[in-house]
Amino acid sequence: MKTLKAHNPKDESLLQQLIALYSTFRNLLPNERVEFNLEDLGWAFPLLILPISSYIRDTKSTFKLPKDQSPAFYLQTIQFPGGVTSVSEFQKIKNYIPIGVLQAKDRVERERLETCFAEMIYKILKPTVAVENAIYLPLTELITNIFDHSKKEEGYVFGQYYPTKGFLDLCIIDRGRGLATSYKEERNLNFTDKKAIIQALSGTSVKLEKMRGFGIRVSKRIICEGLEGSFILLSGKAALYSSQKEEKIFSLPGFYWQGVIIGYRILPPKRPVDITPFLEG
Amino acid sequence: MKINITKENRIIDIAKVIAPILSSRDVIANLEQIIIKAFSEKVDLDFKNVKFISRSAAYELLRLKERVFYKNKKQIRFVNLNQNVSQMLKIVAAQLAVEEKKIPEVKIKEEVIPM
Repeated sequence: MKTLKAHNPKDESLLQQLIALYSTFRNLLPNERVEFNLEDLGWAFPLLILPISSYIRDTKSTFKLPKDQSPAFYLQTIQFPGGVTSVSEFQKIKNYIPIGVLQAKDRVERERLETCFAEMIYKILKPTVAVENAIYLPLTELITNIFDHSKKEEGYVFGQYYPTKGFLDLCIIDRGRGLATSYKEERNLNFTDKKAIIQALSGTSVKLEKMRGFGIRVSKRIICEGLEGSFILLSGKAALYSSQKEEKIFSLPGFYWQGVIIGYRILPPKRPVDITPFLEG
Repeated sequence: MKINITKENRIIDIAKVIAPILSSRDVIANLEQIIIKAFSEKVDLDFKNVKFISRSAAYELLRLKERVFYKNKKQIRFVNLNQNVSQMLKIVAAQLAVEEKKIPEVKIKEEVIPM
């Protein structure tokens, strides 16, 4: 069985996290069963930990815990790799965000578990200004996209607030069909992974109904413009990086993620954010 | 969850029946089943402990209201909405009433991933 060594990012930026994710998963065959070697992992950040966790769940891959006690203990605390799958499990947790596994089949239980995550994120962030809608909208829209489009029974969510670093990182994942395949299967549109990401950001819906194709575009704008954060969207072998300052799209040679990975970072909000202009624009 | 809606008791407590944050499109279908089976032509959806509704769920809810009115002759009323929920429903209702705006394709700089 192949071993994949988990890479540490060169710095704390979301872009370096993307590069560490790419370096870890590069040269992997689709759904290949592997062993993740986390022995030298110094920082277990959501954009790496959640893809590994979902991959392990999906492929029954294995892992070696970090040698360092601190990240090893952290991984156990957040319930890596199995995660929390029910409200009753979540209710035992008081003040951190565990790995969450949301299941399509029981819609109400899923909605309640999602509420637990959203409320915990809000509680941990402790905003002193009116940002409730700006925190909840991206989370809810990006998660509902999983169950609207991925054709998979599970979606994953995880986040971590770093009070000393001064940011909250969140990750939302599915291991479904990905953007390009969704366009192909639903609308017979042939897009590369890069083009599919651009279309998703341009509001081209996978579905033909009115008022669709909104979730990714508006969520990204609220995160980057409203909350002054940064945003990553990865599907297949392409990834978008977006912040207030710059927007880039990358090809990821030797890499393929079956599904969609979204990672974003927000800073503790210092001013109120009204989402109305983003919804109307 | 089994809920009996009668003429005397026509209220559905959304936070209890679903959740305090309404996120998904598909969960609105659960509500539709309860409303269709209701023994009352009027149903009140009570949002008293609902903190937030996503745009997707708001859209589905408004379509559901219209659908059950025309297909099932049932009138839905939204009650006890907080400002967040009320604002979202108003924005989505306004967008449903007008022609959809075409968004130009975004231009994004293509780069090789820095390693």
